[in-house]
Amino acid sequence: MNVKAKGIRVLLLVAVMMLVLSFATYAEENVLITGFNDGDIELSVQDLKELAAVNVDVVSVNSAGHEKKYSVTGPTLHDILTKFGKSQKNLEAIRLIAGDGYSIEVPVEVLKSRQIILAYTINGKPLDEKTKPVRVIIPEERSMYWIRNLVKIEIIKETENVSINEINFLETAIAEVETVDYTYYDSEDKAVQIQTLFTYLALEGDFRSVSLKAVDGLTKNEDKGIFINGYIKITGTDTPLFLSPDLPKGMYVKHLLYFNCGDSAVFSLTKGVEGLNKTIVDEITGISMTTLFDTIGLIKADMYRLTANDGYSVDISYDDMTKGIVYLDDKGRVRSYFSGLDKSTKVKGLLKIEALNQ
Amino acid sequence: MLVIFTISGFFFYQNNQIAEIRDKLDEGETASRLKKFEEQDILRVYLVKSEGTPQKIIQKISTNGFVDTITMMVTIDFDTERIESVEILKHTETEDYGGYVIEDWFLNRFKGNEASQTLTLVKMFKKKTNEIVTITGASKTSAAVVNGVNLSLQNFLRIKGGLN
Repeated sequence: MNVKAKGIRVLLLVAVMMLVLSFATYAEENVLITGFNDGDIELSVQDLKELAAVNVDVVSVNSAGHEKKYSVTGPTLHDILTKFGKSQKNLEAIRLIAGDGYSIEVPVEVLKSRQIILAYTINGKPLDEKTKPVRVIIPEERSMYWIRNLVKIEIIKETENVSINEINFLETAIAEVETVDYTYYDSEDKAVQIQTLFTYLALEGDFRSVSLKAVDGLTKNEDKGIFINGYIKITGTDTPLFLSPDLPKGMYVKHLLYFNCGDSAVFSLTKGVEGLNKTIVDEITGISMTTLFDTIGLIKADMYRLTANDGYSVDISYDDMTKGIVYLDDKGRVRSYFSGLDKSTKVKGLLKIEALNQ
Repeated sequence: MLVIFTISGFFFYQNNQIAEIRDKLDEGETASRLKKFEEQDILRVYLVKSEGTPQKIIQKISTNGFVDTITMMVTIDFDTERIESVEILKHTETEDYGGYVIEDWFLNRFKGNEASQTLTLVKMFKKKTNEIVTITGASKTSAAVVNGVNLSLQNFLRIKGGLN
């Protein structure tokens, strides 16, 4: 009996030690907040548990429209920052970074209006290995922000709010640059390296991030370095698709309408024709220049220069631009057409529209 | 009574083991287990013969996926020493990511590869015959399958050396 009781005690002791060890390991996993002038903030899960927590029921919606319901518990970023004498509402942007490399920038609109929860329990249970130390939950925002395995929050002090001076057409550019093979699920597709595209379009500039907009309305800011090292898949499904074999799939952007980098934009007319209002001018269907300018936010100027891929260019006044459209011909080439203007304004292989006389 | 029960139990167990590969046997083929070539992650090894001549080696392999264990069956032609098929028997990978591991378009990437060539995983496209392109967004799951198949290839060469 004594031996049996001793055995049970040893087993109990081992179980308790394992439990303590697992809690200790869990508590040791920290979240780092960087970017404040007065130093970084490092928080363990235990630190987070000592803060006031919210307990809310939330619904996540992914890019495919699938919904999942959760009940989550954890402190809000607002309360965490308040404890350190800072305010979420004063932030311009933050970047959430997961242990597997996934990262996403949370823009000012979200920071100013949403509750950001660092959840340490979901549906009443501690997080699993791949989700802990915490999962970000932003109710009423898409699940791309709900990152698991959060390890770092970078405070971005200044957001870039620059004017767009030029629009480049993706279809014309990709016809001019080298493509690479890219196997996407079961399909053998073609892609262009974004670095190659940047070089061809001379898009080098002093900008920190790239703003991407998909045809379904999704907007996302991506770090310049991450973006430039990626690819745009140009054949097969989901195109134009921003992706990279080195990035988690959640960072891909399907059906890219345009991206802005510095004062330049790169626009997919194919997606524009799919997603924007179409205009018919003299029986030619395309996107009106005014719709294009409004969509991208191209600055208003007295004159605009249209440049083709063969170097041909023509300058057109603002008033005349309002009479024009851009369209894809039967060979998929980008063209301009202006009602009542002479032939010189019909640019074939349109590569770029620049605002002049700013 | 006990002896009969034990013997019939033994035969039932044996038949059940063979049953898992029955659909892979052609007319006139028989299979036998090669237990001495089984080890930790090589769960079963079967030698398939036709009229006494070895036709193929079928191996049931276990490998660590992104979420949990993936169990698969690898069939290698005995003469040509090339992979005939890779089949996923069990997995719990995430539906939108590693869940594609069961798709023919991924598993067909292994077909025809030579047993003497170790497979390597590549990210975007293959340049060499022994390269396997990862499932988009599921590199860890893809690596698990490649590791499992490589294990079966090494074991196949060991088996063939042992039988010849």
